Amino acid sequence: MITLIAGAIITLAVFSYLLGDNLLYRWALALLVGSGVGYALAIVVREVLVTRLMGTVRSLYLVPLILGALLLLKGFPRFSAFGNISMGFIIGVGAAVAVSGALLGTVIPQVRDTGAAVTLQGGWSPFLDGLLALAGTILALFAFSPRVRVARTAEAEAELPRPARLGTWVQQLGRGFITVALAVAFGGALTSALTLFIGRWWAVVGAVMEAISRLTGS
Amino acid sequence: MIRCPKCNTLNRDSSRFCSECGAPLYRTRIRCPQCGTLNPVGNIFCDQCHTRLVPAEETPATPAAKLTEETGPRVQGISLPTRPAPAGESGETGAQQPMPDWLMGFLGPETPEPGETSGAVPDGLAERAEETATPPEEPVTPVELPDWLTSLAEESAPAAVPSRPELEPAAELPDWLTGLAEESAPAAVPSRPEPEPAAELPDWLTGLAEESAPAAAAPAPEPEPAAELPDWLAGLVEEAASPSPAAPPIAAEEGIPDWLSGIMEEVSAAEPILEPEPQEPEASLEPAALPDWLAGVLEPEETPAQRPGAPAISAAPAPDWLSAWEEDIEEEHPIGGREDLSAEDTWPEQQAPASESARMGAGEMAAEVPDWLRALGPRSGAVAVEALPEGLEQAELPMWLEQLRPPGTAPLDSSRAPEAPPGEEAPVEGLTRAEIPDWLQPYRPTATSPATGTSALEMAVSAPESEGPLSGLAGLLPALPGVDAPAHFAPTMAVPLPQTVVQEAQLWQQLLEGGAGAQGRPKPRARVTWPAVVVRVMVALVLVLASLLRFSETPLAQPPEQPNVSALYATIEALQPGAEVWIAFDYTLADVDEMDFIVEALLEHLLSREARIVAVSTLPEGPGLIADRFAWALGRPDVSPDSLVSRGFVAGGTAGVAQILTSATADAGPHLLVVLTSRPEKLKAWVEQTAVINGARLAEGKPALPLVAGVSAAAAPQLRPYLNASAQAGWLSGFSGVAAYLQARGLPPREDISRRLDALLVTQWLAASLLAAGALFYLLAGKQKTG
Repeated sequence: MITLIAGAIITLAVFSYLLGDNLLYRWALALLVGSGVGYALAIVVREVLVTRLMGTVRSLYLVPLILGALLLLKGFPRFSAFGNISMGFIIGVGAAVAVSGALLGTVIPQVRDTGAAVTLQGGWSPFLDGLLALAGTILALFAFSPRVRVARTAEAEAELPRPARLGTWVQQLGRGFITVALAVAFGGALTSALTLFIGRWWAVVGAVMEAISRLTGS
Repeated sequence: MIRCPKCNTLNRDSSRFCSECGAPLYRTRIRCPQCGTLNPVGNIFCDQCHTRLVPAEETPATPAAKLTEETGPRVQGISLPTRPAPAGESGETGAQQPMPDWLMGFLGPETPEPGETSGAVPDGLAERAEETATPPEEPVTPVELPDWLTSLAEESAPAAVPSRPELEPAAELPDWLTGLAEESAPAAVPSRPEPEPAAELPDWLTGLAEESAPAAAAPAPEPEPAAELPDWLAGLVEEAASPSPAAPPIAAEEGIPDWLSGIMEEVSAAEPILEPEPQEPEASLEPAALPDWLAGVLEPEETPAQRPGAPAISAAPAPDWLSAWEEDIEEEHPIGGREDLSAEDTWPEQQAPASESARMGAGEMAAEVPDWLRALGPRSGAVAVEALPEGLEQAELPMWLEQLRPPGTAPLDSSRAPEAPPGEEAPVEGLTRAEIPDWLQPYRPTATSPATGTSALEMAVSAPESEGPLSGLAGLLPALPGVDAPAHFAPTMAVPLPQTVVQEAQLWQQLLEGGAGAQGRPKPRARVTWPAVVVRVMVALVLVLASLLRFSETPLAQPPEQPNVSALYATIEALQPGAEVWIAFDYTLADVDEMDFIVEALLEHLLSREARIVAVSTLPEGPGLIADRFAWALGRPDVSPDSLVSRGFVAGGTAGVAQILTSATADAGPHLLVVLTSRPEKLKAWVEQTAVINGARLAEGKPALPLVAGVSAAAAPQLRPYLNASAQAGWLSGFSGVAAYLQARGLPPREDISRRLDALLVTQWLAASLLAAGALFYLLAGKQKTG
């Protein structure tokens, strides 16, 4: 009950931003950020440091222990160069993992599925979907091509040669696809925000009703 | 650096006033009239443009000066009772060389012994001598000796040469006398015209010249006997001509001689400069320690009272040293006349034969007179000052001379002191008014100029800068006068400023003050436009509808059938009891309201299939979320705690994902991987790393690890391509996906989920309507306004 009421109060404090920036909103924001950071710090200490260093000690952990100790030296300008070893290791490993994953998990599957979708095996609907995905991918790539000359005005476009004029059109179409993609992302964010909004609002209403039922004894 | 004569503080060379006590610092440089370069005082030509700094007729060096340069230091002579010279210190400085014994005899009994006073010339006096001798540009021959002595010297020199060849007019003089001759002669000559030699000679010396003329070996131009010879000189002439040794007493019945009058005039004129400085006097420079003869030079008006023992010239203001000299002569030669002043008495070091003393006569006496005395004779202080070059006239006085200045007196003559402007208070007695340079005058805090009526600011703005880095630029705003500004002074803005500038300045001032004035002022409130009102009304409407739809009994919409949800259901349904399923809790606390429904739907199905759950997270919030959901799961029947395992938080981001997958697939590996996230980048990382692992597993002949996902509604649009391409085992998103999944499982729709879906449907329609209205407004009104 206490957590329910506390959650409702904090939610109302956040909703008060609809009336403008105020102290309640800032208080709720500071509470959220502070509690989140404190909680994350406590988790890191317990889950990483305590569990892996003070638990079952393995000789393999000496390497990350040393690298971690060197990383702490980044806080001292005189010895910060020793921390570069750890930073290099982290960045190098992270980049290798990300690049290999992006290549095998994103680029190749997207290219394969984009081409494979343009078939009539599944009917016209999957074919059109695949064709739209292929066109959107190619046109979006053209939209970012720096070699395509873009005419800002109709007069400038009339002065362009025909191939250049075609490039301008292609680029405009690519930008249209990108705009639609961003609009879809915005729609999804809006939907999620509304979902959370409804959930929180219901939580507030539920807390109020629960309090009323407790007070009335019904 | 310039040392302040008052407080000894070192100031910069360009300083005009002391930075410590405000005392005026006098310029030590001569400004070139051609290029304005500041040159040292001793310069004859400008260092920069070679322009002559002093008149041409004063330039040539005298033979005495050449001799001085050859023989060493030239400034020596007048002995002041100063500090004793350090033992072993040479006379290189010229200021501490011991005084010769023969000169001590001239000084009289009051003069301190050389061993006591060291007979050295004070430093300041030496500098004064150098300073006075700075313009040595004088004709050589007629200047070295005054005319009235030159003739005598020329007459007596041939007689002295056979016996004392070293007694040449220039060579026989000591260095210090030579130096004084050099320094005094140039200044003296311009001050007096070039009369005929006979007219220039004093009367009494003219008689001496006539008397010694027969003894001279070489003929010299005979000065005409002056008719205005005093009686005593006339008698002296007669005695010199006759063999009788009786001589009349030296008396000035008709007043002092002309050359002594010149001394008086000079001393009187030079007194303001030679005034002693009472502040911080040195023990050796106390005025009381000065010998009488020097005191007589400095204070001629007191001389008559201090010379009771000089009856011969009692009526004349002769100095004491001269009186003492005469007393000595009278004591040693009570009856002798001028011919008895032999070389043995006056030049003991050179031991002239006694027989020659008689024929030296008045001519030798003239040669005995030191040059510095000759220099003092015909010169007047006023003329000497006028003869100084313009730049040198304002030269800085040496420190020793400043110390001699009495208290309460101005450092310069009153004619140079700046006058108080009209309307200002009279200067306080004992304080010297600050000398404000011309370029600083327009910045004086006077409101208006009495002459023109224009404000000082206007004058400053109109006049171009004459000095400094902005020299030549006109229209510069003056700095706020912070020096010598009266308390009631308030600067006025002579240049009208735009209103915006004034307001901005006032705003800055208010911000800087930051006091109660700024806080007490009502804060301007932003004007609320009608689109903002519409937005707020729409939000309020959403809240009301969402609240009302919570209590609706009939669902407004049914979830559509989703093929990806059906695939997900089939994948989980295909799991064998006891199969290991890894679940990644990679969503944040902000998404709990939405993600909890997804987690509950999937976790309930997995537990019903008796799967072994291993939870892990790459976010710090993950362990808390895992614990919360496991607590919910353990509250359900037929759920064993052994079937729920938490691996907690794994750091490293993408590398952490790879680490999790590597460790999970080390042995037999999980049968299913479920990713629950609200962040697209997290799902991308899991998809990509799973693709890497699956590639390795397929290469090893192992089956690929299936991946399913439950994502938030916000992340679904971006992740749909990944999910369709990689997570072919199925996925779901948002409330609609949960409802579809429950529908796929054949379960009745949950009431809370149905109500949320209704509320979401209504709010989405409202949001879409709002967006459409905004777009329509932009197309119709906003675009026209923009155009």
